[in-house]
Amino acid sequence: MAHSLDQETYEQQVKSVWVATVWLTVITIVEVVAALIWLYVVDPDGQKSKFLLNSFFIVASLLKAYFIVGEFMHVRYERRALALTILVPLVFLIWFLVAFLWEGAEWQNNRIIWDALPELPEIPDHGDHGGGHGGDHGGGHDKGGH
Amino acid sequence: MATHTVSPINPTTEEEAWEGGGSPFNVSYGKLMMWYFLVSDAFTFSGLLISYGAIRFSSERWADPNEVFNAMPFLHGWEAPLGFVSIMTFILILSSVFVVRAVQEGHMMNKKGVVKWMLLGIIGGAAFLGCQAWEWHHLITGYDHGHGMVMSDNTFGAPPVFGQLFFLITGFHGFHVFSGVVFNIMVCIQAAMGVYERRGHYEMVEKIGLYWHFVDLVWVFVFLAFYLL
Repeated sequence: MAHSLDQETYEQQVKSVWVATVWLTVITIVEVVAALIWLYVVDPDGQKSKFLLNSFFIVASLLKAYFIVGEFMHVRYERRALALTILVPLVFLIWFLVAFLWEGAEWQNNRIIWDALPELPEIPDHGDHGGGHGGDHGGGHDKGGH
Repeated sequence: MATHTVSPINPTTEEEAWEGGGSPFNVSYGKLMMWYFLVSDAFTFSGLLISYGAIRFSSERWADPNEVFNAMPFLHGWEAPLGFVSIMTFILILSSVFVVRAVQEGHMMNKKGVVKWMLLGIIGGAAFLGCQAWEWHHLITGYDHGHGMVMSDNTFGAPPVFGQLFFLITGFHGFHVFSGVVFNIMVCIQAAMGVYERRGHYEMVEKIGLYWHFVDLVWVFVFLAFYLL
């Protein structure tokens, strides 16, 4: 199956690959800049909820995945049937993700109820933005996830 | 190929292709199987990343990526949160793009172009591996100086499982990169020897290219899980 492209399609595809490259680069830069702005400007003490920032990261990553799968892996140009046979099984991952994060939160909940939280190492005092959020003294607080 | 007779061997429309004899997906057997392998590999990585999520949700404290990943080679003492990993990400994206260019040159039956872009892709993959080696080395040796992590412990106030998951998942991804580089070298040598030219098509470059882009795709989510969230 030697499918050589004609010159015009070839040039067009080369161009769209470079466009996708620019998108991927720009999205990555925006992600890192957002993380840094959050770290240094919005929330230097690590007190605020990161819900919005994290939602942005997830959407941006899915957008990057779209460019890689669609453009680099050529799925956009494949037959619909092939695209579906590849992408539809991945729908299971949505429930996989929801169920296991839910389950993980429940493990922590059980440990709190049974007073069985593992002892964590002390947070060493270094750097200006120390790890974790400080001030944790064993059980009693409800949420550890960000 | 552009005949308009209804022939199952040479299907002209998507419906006719399902009559049998041809590939309804319009891809060769090898390429389809590469896709199915990648789907199964996607589930493997999802399993790893989702167990990371479950364990993280079950832990009362977790490491702050801005603190863990803030070192830069040659710039000792600098604080550059996410700086080095951004460079790594960019290297892997570029390497992926180079391999796409090799695939496109393959469509044009341009042997020199294929070899040139494959070589650039290989260099990109090797550079990524080098960066990862530096990052691991920095974290492991840094543990002795009070700012790093090993499998059993870390200095970021996180449970040890953070380090275990980090080394497991980035290691599994790094091994994919390593085998991808090896495959790329093999394909590049075969292309340079004219194997694909004699065969009449460069489909092997496409198949290996799919694998290589998949490695880049996985990195997007490893980057998300470990460095951003």
